[in-house]
Amino acid sequence: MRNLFERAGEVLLTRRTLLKASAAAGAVAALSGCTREPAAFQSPATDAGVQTFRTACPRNCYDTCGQIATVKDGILRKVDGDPLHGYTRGRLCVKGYTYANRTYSPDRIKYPMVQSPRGSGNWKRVSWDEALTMIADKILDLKKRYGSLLPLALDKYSGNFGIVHYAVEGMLSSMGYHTYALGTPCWPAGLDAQIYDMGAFMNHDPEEMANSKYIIIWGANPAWCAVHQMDIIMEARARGAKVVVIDPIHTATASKADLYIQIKPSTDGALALGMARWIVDHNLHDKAFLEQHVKGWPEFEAYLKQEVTLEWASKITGVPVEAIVELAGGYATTKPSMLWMGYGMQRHINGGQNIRAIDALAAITGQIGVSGGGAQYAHLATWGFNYHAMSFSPPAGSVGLKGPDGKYTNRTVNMNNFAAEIQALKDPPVKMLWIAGRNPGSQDPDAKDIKKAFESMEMVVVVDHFLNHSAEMADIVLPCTTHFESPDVNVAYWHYWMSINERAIKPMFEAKSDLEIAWALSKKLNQLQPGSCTYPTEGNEEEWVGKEFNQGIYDLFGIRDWKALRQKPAKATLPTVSWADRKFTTPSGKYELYSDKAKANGLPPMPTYVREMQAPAEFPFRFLTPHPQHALHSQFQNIPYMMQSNPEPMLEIHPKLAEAKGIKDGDMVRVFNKLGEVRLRARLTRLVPPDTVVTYESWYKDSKFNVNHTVAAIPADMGKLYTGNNGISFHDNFVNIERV
Amino acid sequence: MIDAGVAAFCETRLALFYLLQRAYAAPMTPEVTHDLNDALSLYGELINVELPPCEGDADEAEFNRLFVGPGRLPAPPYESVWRSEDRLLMQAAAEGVRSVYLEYGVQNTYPEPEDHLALELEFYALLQYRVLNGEAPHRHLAAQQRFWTEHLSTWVPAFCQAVEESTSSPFYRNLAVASRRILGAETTILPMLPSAIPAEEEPAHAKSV
Repeated sequence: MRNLFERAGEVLLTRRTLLKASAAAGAVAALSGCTREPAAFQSPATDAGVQTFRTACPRNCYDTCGQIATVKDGILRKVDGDPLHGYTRGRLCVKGYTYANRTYSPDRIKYPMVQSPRGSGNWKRVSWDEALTMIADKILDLKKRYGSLLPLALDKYSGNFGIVHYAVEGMLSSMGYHTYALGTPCWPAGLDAQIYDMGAFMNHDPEEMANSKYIIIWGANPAWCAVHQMDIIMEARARGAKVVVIDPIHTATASKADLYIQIKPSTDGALALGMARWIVDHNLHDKAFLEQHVKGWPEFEAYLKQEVTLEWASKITGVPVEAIVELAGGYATTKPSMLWMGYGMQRHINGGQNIRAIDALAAITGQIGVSGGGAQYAHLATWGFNYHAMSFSPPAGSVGLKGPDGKYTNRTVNMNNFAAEIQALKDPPVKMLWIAGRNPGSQDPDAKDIKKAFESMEMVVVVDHFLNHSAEMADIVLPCTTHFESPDVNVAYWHYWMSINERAIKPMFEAKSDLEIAWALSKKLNQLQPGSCTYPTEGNEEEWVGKEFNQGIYDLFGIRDWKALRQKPAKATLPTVSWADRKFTTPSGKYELYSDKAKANGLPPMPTYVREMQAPAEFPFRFLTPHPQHALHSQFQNIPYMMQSNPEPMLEIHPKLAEAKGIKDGDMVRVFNKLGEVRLRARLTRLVPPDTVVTYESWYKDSKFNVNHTVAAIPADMGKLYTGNNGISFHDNFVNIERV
Repeated sequence: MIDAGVAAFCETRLALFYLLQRAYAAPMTPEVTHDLNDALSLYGELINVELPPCEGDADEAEFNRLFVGPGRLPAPPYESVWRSEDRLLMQAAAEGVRSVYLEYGVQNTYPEPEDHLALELEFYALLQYRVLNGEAPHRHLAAQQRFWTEHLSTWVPAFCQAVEESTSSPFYRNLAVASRRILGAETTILPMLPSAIPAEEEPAHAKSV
């Protein structure tokens, strides 16, 4: 190969060409910073050792785990459960253990990027400054054209429940009165139900469940979705407790139970009423409790005796009479006995009413305010932060929606009917969306309509970690930090713990936290139009975590300074048993089997039977789309570990139904109704009922799969009282199926 | 003194690597394409690829789709992804590259992991520059050999193949072919260089000559 050099030497490489090439490259060399001069680099010695940081899983989950992030040389090595967190107890779920992989996925959104046209996949990288200028220009343009910021709509929810993430709401409020999605798709019917019954929702300390002797897990699947609770349930079982699971699907949790009851979806109220009737007939109700602490017992007793029989309940629920007897007997005679109601079972047109009927069992048997007893659902008692991140008022002179008192306010749309409502608004119409911590593109009902709604906008901005279905439909995507890259503080809606979330690593690429984005956008708006945004334009993220604390939080958690949370998570000093004093916060001060408030709100005053939605003749099967094992909504399933163990969504079909439809295991099946369709591979299993097909909601990598194509935005019966809008009947989803 | 023919070749090679670095650092421009074609032609039959004109917006979008995102990358330009079992960023390969950079007194100030292809190519070019410039040439030649063996050669061929398989852009397909061949030629070039470069002299002496 001496030739090569000789030939190269013969070729005249002019100085000009080489200089030109080096100059062209040199410009980039400076950019990439791989400079020739030994730079004053940060000595690796400062972070050579292994460091650990306390972080908190910020996902929308019962467990809100305390985590330990292990970092070496600035790289996140692994994520474990925090052993000092009394609920997490040193362990994580299958999702939590993938966090290092999720953080270092090459698929993360890395830079601000602009797509044109929207949905084309034609992306251009822009600087943060360019992206913020485009966004700010549009915001100021809308304000000028419409005289207010009402054309700007915010849809933000549970992608990250860290307290500092309320900076998103704060950012919008600081610009002016705007439109935002109000409500929650998760749990509101049940919240209202418990407010009608007890005045508030307040679950026991869930660690206390270990004291129970009879645990009914009603429509929850902790083996997948609250794994630490499963430990506690197994602990109770080891101490002799009986565990019952009531669910339409024979879940992983059900497989661990002493008794599994397969119920027709949405008929939970009828089962509870049947049990109540048996309990009363057998004189097992707690007369003293009913006398002293309950309003409406005579009326409810009369209803039970007139309207409810075991045969009736059996017919509606599909649960044999003997099973109802065993269940009612077990619940009423084994004390303490606990009810735990999941959120899936209230996503029905009668969901709130069903929760009230189940609550009633605890009232009738006097199992409220009892250790190992109670009717557990949720709480928000530990969330008393300052919400400093959203404490800034609109600029002076801002115009919004005129309220009855003549003052301007924001305009709301129902989060649970988002697509239809933002398209329907006129005067002024909605023209711009800001989406953060939310993925309506795969999580909202009627997926087709969501697409239409996005298409009708002048600008859609999505802040996220990955290019999910919403981000695919955006004009601008902004890269967001993970919880390892930004500090925060987290509490739960189930356990009583609080965890600090320390910054463990520097943000990857150009990711910014929601808070940093709020500062930066405010800065840009104020540059373009001074005074157009009241949000601070810079700050220190750790300090902003500190600004969320107040004396009330300190007292509740028994700490003097939030920084103490770096040493260990803190637990609220709440009574471990809720309602132990039986001082209910209802209008009567009693547990209200009869609620005037419910009646005034157009609901049945008592937890009487409200018929479940019936399948229309042409769509005879119920399509359940509950929460998956490998994902939390559209988060996690796209991670390679998950794709390896759960590579594609499957449609679970009972062999009887499959036979009737000529479907074999592995066949592609079209699941359809008037709204749309989903195509899935069949998995024949006896774990689902014959008239119900099941798949699990998720966002799979490289997949258009979306369970919400056939789901209509049908409201649940309750939710409005506490969250402003009723819940959503995700599980009143009727379809037909055919082999493709 | 380095033999004039070898020096001229090495200058071409250096230019080529800087231009290649540029090609993976940002979307292409007609000017850089032109220069890159010039340099490729100097390599002649060894590469035998010419880049078609890059097509402005379409090829910018393609560059982003392949190497930047925001979606899943068909050809992630990170060594760590190709060399770790779980195909992740910031694994052992990224650390290895970082420590080599530190050893040679350079650091990354770009918001990308150190094992981004553009950074690896730039570092490799820098080592070449130091040889040509008479800065501890044998040490920097040995470093080239090591960096090529331990890093570039371990993943760039697979990366280039992924680009070739997943792009319909003639520009990026040809760039991938050219990159693969340029890297491949190093197998031949690297062993020849030590004998072409005179034994190391005292820097002060070297300056006075």
